[in-house]
Amino acid sequence: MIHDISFGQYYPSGSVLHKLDPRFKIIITLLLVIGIFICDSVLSIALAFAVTLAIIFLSKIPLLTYLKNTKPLIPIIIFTFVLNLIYVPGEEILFKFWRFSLSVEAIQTAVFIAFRIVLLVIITSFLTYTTTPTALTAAIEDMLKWLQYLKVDVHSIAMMMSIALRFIPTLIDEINKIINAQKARGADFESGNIIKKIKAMIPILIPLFISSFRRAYELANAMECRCYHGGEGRTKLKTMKAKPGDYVALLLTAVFFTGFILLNYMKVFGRY
Amino acid sequence: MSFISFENVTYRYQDAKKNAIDNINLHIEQGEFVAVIGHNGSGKSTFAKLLNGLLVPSAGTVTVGGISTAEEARRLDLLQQVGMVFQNPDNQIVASIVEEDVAFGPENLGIPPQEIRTRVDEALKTVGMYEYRLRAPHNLSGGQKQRVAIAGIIAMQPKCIVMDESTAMLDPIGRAEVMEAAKMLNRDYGITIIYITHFMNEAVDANRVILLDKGIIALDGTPKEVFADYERILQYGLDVPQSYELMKKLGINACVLQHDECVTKLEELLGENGKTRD
Repeated sequence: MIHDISFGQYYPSGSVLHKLDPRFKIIITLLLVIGIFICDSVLSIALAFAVTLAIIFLSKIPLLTYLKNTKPLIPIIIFTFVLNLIYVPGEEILFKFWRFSLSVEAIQTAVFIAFRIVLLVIITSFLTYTTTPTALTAAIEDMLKWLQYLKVDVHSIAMMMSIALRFIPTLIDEINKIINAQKARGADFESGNIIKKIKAMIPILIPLFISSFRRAYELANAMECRCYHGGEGRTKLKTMKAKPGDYVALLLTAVFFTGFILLNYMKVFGRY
Repeated sequence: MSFISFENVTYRYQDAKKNAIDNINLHIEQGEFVAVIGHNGSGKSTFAKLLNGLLVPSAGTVTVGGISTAEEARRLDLLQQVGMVFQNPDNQIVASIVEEDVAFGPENLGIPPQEIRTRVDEALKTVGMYEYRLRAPHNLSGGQKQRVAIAGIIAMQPKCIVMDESTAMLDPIGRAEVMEAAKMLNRDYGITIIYITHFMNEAVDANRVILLDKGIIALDGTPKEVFADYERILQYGLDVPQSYELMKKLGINACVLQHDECVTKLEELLGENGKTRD
């Protein structure tokens, strides 16, 4: 039933981008995402496209792997594309049908936004492809350190996140086992209406919950046995230290970001 | 004073009618390889948990390396000295990358990053999992996961490792891998091993076997001494090592416990028979 869930989709290719400090990568991704959102001219989107291509090339990860990530978004892309075609008002009307009209501007907007979504997906997958989930949580922990002055237990939250990530594959295996065990006992998950199907999930969820609690108890014991006593006095195997390369990458991103804004004022095609 | 000593130790779970561990006195020296056997409910797991203070005795004292397990203030020292490997490999691996999991213990101890690095690499090499250091634990086999768990313990540099039925969920290959790692740690590093198991074939490899029954130590001695009486072992609800059983079925009255020993014995017998036939 659940076979391949691409979660924590780290793709180790040992590229320069993999070696960047995860904290910088998060900031870079955020900047690029915001940048692409505010792209409003053909030139600036072209720059965004060039930056994305450069990232794909530098990450040494095949383009196809990136595009695979856009697959689940295809319905959304088509949906927004059609909506834009129908609803964006424009002057150069190509043809009219009942209450709808199709204008040149609408086509431009639709194509533009669809393209922007694809770029956004690629940029965000760059972060998850080149950074391990553990590195990501460590980076988030580090970046949110200041919250501890507001009495937020940042370490515990980060620990919970990384344990959750660690147990996702284990629990998926468990779900598959439970499904098979229930099927062997004659459970039927496929037939009936939606309500029936949801009800059929109960015999999967209850054993899953019970076994998760048992796992949690055992894990807590094991962690205690390995001297876990919260974040106090804890050191890290991998300390995050910004290298010159990280600053160069951030600087480049900042330059591109300004580029997006400046190029927004230079329209070539009508509105864009 | 012995490395591990139990003085009149009793443990009773809340709301239980009987003592899980009933007035045990026991001494284990540094560097021993002790197998603990007993049928279900004999108190094996309780015994294991008493060793590192996961459970504190209801009466009596347990001391390990001079630290009483009831001593709150030295809890971390105790836990660092007595590492524990559990039954289910999935439920004791904390991180999603092998080397980060091995680093978990030293990180908790507040060891400087560079030293953690050397400890992690050494520990992984010791158990033969160094090539897997960047893998995700859930892609490893059961035996490999257990070896990662052992590496995580070694990285804390303990004096003693308690294996609480660590091979129970593994296939024969995995069991052999874990047993081999335990023997090597005992032999080459002088680490005391407390090996709790219900596989008699594993118990025969220890220097000393302790048989628990209803919370008391029923038998304590070398494997030969403990398994000497075939019927007695069966009475405790346990199996007999396969080699021994084979000998018994062949009608030979000899306490043969090891596979190799069994093979030589059989060769001897076949040889003799061959001679008489001539």
